[in-house]
Amino acid sequence: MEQGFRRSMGWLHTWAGVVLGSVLFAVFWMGTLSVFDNEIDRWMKPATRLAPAPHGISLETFRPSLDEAIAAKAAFWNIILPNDRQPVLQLRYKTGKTFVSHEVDPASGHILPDSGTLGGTEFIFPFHYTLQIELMDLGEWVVGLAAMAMLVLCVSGVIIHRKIFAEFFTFRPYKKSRRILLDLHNVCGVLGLPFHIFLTFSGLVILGATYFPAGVTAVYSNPRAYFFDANNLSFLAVKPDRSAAPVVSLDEAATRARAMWGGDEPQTVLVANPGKASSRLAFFRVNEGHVLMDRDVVAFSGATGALISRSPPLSPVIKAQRFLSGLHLIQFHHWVLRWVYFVLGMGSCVMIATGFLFWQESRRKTQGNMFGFRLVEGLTSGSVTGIILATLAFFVSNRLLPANAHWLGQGRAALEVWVFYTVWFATFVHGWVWPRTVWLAQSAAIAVFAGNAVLLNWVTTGDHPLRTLSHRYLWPVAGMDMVLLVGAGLALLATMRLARRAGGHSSAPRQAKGGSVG
Amino acid sequence: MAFLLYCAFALVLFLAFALLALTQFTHRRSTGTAELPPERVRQARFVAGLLLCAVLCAAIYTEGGGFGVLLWAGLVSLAACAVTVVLGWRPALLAPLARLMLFSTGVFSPTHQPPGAGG
Repeated sequence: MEQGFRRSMGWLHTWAGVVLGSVLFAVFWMGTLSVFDNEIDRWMKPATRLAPAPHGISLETFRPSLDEAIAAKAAFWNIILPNDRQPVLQLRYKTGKTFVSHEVDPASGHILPDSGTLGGTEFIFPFHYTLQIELMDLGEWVVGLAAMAMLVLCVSGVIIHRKIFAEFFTFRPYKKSRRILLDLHNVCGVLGLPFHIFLTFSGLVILGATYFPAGVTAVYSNPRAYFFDANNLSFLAVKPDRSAAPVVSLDEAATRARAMWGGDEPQTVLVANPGKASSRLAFFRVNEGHVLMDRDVVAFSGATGALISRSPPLSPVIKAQRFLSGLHLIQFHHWVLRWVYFVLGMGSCVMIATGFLFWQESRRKTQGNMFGFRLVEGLTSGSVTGIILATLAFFVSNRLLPANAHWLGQGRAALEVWVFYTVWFATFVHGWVWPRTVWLAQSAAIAVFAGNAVLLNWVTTGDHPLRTLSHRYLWPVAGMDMVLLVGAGLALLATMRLARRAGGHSSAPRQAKGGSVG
Repeated sequence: MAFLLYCAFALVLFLAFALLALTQFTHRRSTGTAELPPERVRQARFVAGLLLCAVLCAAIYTEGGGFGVLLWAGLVSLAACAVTVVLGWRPALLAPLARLMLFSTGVFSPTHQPPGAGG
């Protein structure tokens, strides 16, 4: 009975992994990179590599931009103030269906030139949970399905692991490749289990309203009401008054908001319906010192400055939801914890990749020429080394494309994304057409692309690793360069080992050496 | 300063997992030390458990409930991985600790066993 149950769980684990492993790897890879999305932005947008701005920026400095938004009859105008990870001030307003967005040097107040890239925050992070498929929210649904499968994989993996405690610390690098792959898969799976489960579950909770809309429709009359409530924007539900009225002093209102928060600073300033009598001026409190995402919002009348509302204290259920959201979205500022997330995320990627590879190694001799095997083989290379290579091509293209690049009606930012997809597609084709050399060739390509990304950053911006390491405000760029160099080194190591194996110098001497250990 | 504290947490967690791993026959054999008597195994696991709890309490005390628990859970995974990697590639690095577990008279009871017994 027990063996039968374990066997069925083994079947479930294998096929859920094989079928959804590609999506899972993409989600975990992009999620892991998103841990440092702002830092990736610094690397991809050299104009934003600024020294920290002096404290106490006057919001009135940005009054001309607000007046511009009023003249353009904008629906809203907002600024996101700089912080430890984001040295630039972001300024946005929406007029009609057009978003006007600028990055501003907070020290001088000058608008920075358009960076021509989506960077980490607008491409890598959204890819993590939408796969950039916006049609009918299909991407979010596929990610949700993969996340559910991940939870199933975690539970079934624990059930089928015969010696979970006896082999808790077991990793035998001198055994045969199949054994090493299984050991790595088990080590990354078991030791990172709390991370896999909490991150997957919290991701599902964040997108819960998409997957389980019945709860929302039962409580709210329309999706707009839910959106306002969920984002502490209830102050926006106001009867429109189109008569003109100037917006009160932003600095005075900010001082009152600070006093209400006991001295805490605002992160975002929002003016809804600017220039109208019914306008609202809202301040969103900075929330970088807690895991819990409590967006305390103070809203004033934009025309009179009268206090309209302040977010009510969170109920225990909402607190739990916001804690899980905070745990997943990592908006807090804790550098050590951020790096821990990054390393554990990489561990998740290793677990998924080794699962795929173990499946192949187990069947290569008996099913190597079958269509299904060849299909999964190509899928694996495209999903694992392929997406890594595509991401690196995205970075390299960012440093190579000229500032005003334009081709076939596509702007610079879109061209970078096209490079990503073209390279990614090519890696799948490569995997299907030349399966024998795919791992070797793609590992070598990863080493070359990662090394060249660092070199190109140096050549195009003058920010070489020694310079970035010696200036505190350039550490995000230094960190990105270091990760790229470590990645290049590891890929080179993998390439050399694969080349040795392909060249007939099998690992026999190492196995013999391994026999003497222990 | 905070960074040094996190390093201390990681080191203590590494020690706790090393103690747990070195109560297992396979890993004692890979470090070239004798198997532990059952009583000593229980004591080592108890000390490891205490160390894990102590770091959790210290992390919550210094970082607060949210960050403390997350930091502890993350470092637990990384420390356990580090022990696994050391046992895989350089088990000899843990041999002094394995021998200390056998002969120490401080925390552990003074039951001595000759090297190689049971290994």
